[in-house]
Amino acid sequence: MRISTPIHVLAICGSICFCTAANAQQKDSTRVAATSANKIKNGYEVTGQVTDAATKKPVPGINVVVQDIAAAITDDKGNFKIIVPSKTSVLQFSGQGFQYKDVAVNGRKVINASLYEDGFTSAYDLVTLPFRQAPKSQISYAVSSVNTDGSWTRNKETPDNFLQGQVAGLNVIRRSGTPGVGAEVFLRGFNSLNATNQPLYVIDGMIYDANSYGRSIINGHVTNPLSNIDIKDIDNITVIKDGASYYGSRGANGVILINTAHAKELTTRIDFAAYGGMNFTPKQIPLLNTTDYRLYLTDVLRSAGQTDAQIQAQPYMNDDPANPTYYQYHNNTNWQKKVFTNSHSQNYYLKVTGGDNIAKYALSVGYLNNDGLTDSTNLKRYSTRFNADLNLTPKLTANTNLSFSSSEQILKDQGLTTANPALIGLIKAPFLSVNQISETGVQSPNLADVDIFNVSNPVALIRNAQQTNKYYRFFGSVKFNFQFNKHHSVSSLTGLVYDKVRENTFIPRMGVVPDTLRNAIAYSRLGASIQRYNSFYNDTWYSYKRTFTGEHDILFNAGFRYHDSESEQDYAQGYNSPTDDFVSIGNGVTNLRRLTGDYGKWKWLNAYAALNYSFRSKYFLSANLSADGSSRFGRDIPGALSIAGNKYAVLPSVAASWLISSEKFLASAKFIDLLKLRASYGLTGNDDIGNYNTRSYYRAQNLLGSQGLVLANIANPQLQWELNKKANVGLDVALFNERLNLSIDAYHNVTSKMVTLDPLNTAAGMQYVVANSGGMRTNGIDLSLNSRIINNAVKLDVGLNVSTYSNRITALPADNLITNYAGATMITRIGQSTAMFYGYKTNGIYTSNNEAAQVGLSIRGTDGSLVPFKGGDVRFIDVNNDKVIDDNDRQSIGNPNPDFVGSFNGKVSYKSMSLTALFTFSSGNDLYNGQRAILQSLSSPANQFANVVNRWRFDGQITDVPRAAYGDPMGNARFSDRFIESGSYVRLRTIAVNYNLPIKPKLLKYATIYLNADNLFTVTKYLGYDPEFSAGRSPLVQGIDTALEPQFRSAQLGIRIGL
Amino acid sequence: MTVKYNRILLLVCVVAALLGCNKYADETKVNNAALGQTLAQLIKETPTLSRFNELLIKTGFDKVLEGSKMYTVWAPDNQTLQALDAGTLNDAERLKQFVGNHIVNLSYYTNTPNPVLRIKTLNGKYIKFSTTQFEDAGITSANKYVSNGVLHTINKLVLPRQNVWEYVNSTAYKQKNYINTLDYQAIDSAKAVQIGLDPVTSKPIYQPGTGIITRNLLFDRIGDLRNEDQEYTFILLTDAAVDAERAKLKPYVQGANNDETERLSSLHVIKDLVIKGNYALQDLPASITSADGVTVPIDKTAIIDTRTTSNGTVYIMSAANVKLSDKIRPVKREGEQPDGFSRTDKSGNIAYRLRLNPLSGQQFNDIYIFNHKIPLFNVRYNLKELYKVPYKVYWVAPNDVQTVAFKQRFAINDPLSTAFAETDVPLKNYNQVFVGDYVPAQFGGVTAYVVAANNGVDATNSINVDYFVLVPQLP
Repeated sequence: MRISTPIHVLAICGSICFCTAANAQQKDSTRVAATSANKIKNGYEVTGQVTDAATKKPVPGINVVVQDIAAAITDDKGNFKIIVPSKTSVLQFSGQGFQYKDVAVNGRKVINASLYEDGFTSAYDLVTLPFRQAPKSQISYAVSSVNTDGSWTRNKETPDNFLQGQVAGLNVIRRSGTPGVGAEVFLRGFNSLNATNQPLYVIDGMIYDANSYGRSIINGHVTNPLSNIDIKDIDNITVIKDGASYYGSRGANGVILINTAHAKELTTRIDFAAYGGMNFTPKQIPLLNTTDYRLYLTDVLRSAGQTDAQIQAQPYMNDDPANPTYYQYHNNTNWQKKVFTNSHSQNYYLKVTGGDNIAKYALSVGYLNNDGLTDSTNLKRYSTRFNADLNLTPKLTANTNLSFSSSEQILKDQGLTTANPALIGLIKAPFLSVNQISETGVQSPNLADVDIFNVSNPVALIRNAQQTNKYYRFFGSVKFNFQFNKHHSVSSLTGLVYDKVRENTFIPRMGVVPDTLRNAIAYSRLGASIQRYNSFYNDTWYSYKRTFTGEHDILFNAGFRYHDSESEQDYAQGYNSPTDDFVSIGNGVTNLRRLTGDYGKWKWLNAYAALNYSFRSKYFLSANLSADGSSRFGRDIPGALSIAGNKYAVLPSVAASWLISSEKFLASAKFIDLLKLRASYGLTGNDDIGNYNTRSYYRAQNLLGSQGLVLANIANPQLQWELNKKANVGLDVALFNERLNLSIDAYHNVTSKMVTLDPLNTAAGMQYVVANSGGMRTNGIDLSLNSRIINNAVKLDVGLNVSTYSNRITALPADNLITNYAGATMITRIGQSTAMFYGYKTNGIYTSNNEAAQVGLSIRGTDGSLVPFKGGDVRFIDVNNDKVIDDNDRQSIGNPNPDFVGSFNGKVSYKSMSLTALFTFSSGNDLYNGQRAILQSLSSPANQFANVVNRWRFDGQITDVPRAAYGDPMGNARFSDRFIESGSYVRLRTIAVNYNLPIKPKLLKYATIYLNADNLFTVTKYLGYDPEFSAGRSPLVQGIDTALEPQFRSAQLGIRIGL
Repeated sequence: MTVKYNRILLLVCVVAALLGCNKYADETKVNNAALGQTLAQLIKETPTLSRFNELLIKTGFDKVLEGSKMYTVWAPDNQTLQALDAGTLNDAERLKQFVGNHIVNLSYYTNTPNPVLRIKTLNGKYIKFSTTQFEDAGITSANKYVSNGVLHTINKLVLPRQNVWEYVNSTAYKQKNYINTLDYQAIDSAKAVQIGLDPVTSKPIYQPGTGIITRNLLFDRIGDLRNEDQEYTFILLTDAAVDAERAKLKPYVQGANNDETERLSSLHVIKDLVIKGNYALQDLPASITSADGVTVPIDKTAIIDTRTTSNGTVYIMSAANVKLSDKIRPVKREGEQPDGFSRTDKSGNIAYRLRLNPLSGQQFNDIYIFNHKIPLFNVRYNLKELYKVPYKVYWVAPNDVQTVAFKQRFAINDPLSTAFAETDVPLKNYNQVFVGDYVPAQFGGVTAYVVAANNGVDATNSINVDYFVLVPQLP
């Protein structure tokens, strides 16, 4: 707690500064509105014409401005005349319905500009940065800006999912198909092994903590804080990809700035949108049919040592209809159909904006009801937002961004667990039925219980398991801005987050396989969990902005941010309620009840200074510096800045760019609109090093029924932030009157002081200590290309985003780190990519016992004896040639990192109709198909993948599927390249048509119909349901298919009306 | 127009290919044409098996071989089937037996037997399958596998065999009649109709005349000779030989009446002529030991005939001269395996011990009952069968932990009987001690008792038995 004192002191200092500034404002007030046009001495006259780029017709009413100095408006023939201060000035063109554009005068007398319509992807798009809004052409950092344009065609998306394919270098992997579950977002590959790799989200100037604290007690589910943001509330998104150090020790993974929509005009506008849609089940995984399944079953039971008589005595082998169990075991049930169903979605949204000179408001409410793919799962979300802009006095303005969102989601377990209905639906014997069946074949309405193979009834889980997640988050901030005069201002933003997740689960005993606890059998399982997160945030800064002689532009900001967060999770697990009607946690058996929890409290203080300088709007320089203190940092970090015993991370960055196209020597090259070279270098940090790892703490421990405390860790007071150095070089090009826009960036990110779990000597009593012993680097290239192909009444735009990265580990506490997850083994080794799949390579199947004997490989049995491979076993490759297949024969068998990820997009518009399409792709990544590893294990009575009909049965049979062997004694289904598949895919991520209805303006302002579809088709060779999934946010678990709900196709029809 | 239509068609095809492109098609297709077939189809499509196919259809087995279970079929080819007699062909039941004899559950390849497999066919009989032979037929074409099993072709008719009992019952030997006299009626409660519960005992009351089944004393003892699952070696004696054996045994199996004596002599002769397991002639040892431990000498020259049946081999022999001393053997009973005690409340005083004989160094188990304070406490042993012959009774009672000797008494059928005198149990005596003589009145079971001294004094009323033995005194 001692660390908090100086942070408090600084916070108080900041508040005092702000108060002083507020007092000072009274004195000079009147000069703000004064403009300084028409006062130019020795001016230089420029004339020209502005035309519409599509129709080539002149455009009247376009503002032509030299920033802060001169202004003109085009006449009805599109002509303008303006006196500019120098030959190096820049003209800014803007007008309602048209793009914003900068054109350098560059010594020319006549400048003709042709403007595209609003919404055109341009090199001059305005980008919102922490302290300013500027055309992209004037920014030196590697940033991408996404204008959501209302997102009316993508209304169901969460902001993270929405970003997929929008920004080069941003690899968005949707976690699963569960509505609202969001995505893992990796900006430019990985930067850390154990700390977060998630970019920092800043919404309306306030840090939005998008981590979910604690874990969901619903298997496979992740509570996604970003799902609280209604995509239709978002105005624009900026992705800062390089080391801008704006957010110091929290910016190592890049920063995503999200700005929600404020009222743009004073007139009242009412937008109402309603959508209805369908979600479609994915293509089923082909499984054995009842005939082939029973034949497989015969083989696998025989391999278990059952005799002919024992096999024939199994009730499902008896084909006599007089047999009392005949009807129970002679059905043909497609279990996949029982689990996944087509479902519906609904969405309503109302937004009202307007106001007057004093106050403007934007008010929105939304309701989403989206059914999941798994039968009877559903997400309901209510969201509200109130954004206001208040002119309190001529100098004092205020902005509020208040949002409250609440959701209720009905879920089912996912992942490789016995309570995942989707997984059970794959392995359940097809000859069984959903309901109980009498001796005479009469079907009962009661569900069938656990079957003869000890497999649950998936329908029992769907109907009777209760798993709900109720979530709400309040996220609100108020920002005051006091403008002393034209140049000086002080702002302060204060915000609060209050976030709560309540989960309740109940897994019934009827129809579900019991779980085994240490001291009991868990027939029914009950759970309750509460996760809380709340934080206080303040950002206060001083801003200085000035233009000298029309050539030097300076923007300087300095301030500090304070973030105080607290999280807590408490959950209880209970077991064996008296009957399946008792579903709440209190009904479990008392002495089996477990209560656990987690608590964290941390503070972060960031003092920063940012300078932007430009000369003749041609040479740009930005420099940032931040000094961060955090309650998480150790107190003995060597070499760190120390203030009052607390250590601070000092992280500077610098960026420069050169607008070459504004140089004189390119003035004559008319086909070049923009050519800009950028370079940046910056230090950022990652403070996700654990709240208490620098201190030693105790945890509760139960020993033979008595409760006590034991030491939980070894403190590392030297533990510091991960340091991430980012270098970036970029080139922006716009050619042929912006018909072709290209942006390319090359980067080199180096993580040092990477947090690792250093193994300890046994005598230490702990397995590891958290330290900064790792290192990693990631190099890569991002490319984005946009082009207008057809530019007349029909407009066709196409775009391409593609990025590639290579990741190498440079330091680890040990030579390699082997991790296991969901049946997969990964190796992280110095000099290689993070988490390569590490397993056995195979080379087909032994066709005969003789062949196996000739090769002469064996495995080591549990008793130490050698067990030779036989015909029908998998031919593993013996790497070390010791004739024994064991752990030493493992090698890298796949890389979950993609070679390329990106997207294509296209947009065609004609009159009041337009069609947009977004294709996303991933190429060269490998996936571990954990689901298929079960479906091709041939080791149990679980139903199998359809190609198991080709299993090896006979000496000499040439096939690629091994023999059936109960319990898999030879390890044929071990983690090997049999189950590593290419994860490359191309997907029609979204396609949308909108049509503006011709209406009488008296009744409505406008009405638009939307027809859109998601995931319409995916071209992939991946044999699971879908190649896109993420089992967790760690880079160590990427590319592992753990049977989460797959992505699915959906389509919807919507209408939006404006009043 | 056609050009335009072609283009549209092409577009439709491309779209269909894109949308309908099935990534699973390649992965899941059957990689061997045979695996797409069933046995029924394979046999149908094999011209040399057309006659067998006709028989399959006639008997309905073709439906079976279409099914989703694994089968192995040994199909006789057309030429072989010509030899099938018309009697079998025209008798539906026999034909079914014949065809069923060629089909078994599960798949068996010629590399499976090591060296011979005995497999149950669909007609309930067993066949023998080796790497080259099916019973005595040669395999001409092997290991044709399809989705639901494997097909072999054979070149000789294999008719279903009789089992041991079917064969014996079909002969005219007296031994068959003697076995038949051992039949008796019993009630099988599972087959009987229950009509109520006895209000006193709560036992079920069955409707008279229901649930009555015929059982056989011999089969009860040595197993059902009709059971195809069990293989036997059965010695069928000629009439003279079986009568000689019965005459030899008759004085010692005197029952309550003459009929019973006759039956007992049959049972006790024949029970030792059957052993479980199938000995081929060449493997037949010089003597075999029956389940009761009786040694039966096998004189191979006395074997008149050998019959192979579906569940074993029957040797017809002119003599099997079992020595009386091999038949009537000492009855030994371990002390630590009692059938009961005179009271049930003394388990705390009863020790089942594992002790060491310090003289021989051997371990032994015994029963030691001590400090029970009950005069004439006894331990009970049921002896199932005693032949009608004088027995001498001995026991071993080590008395190895006490400091005082005690007395205990042996009794038969009545624990209070003083037919046997009280016998001293001296300290640390590991030797067999003569206890007395006993002559049963007739053949049958008795209850033996070891009775404590008639006092309640600790140590002097202990009981201790390692074992006791009744040694027959044969002439």
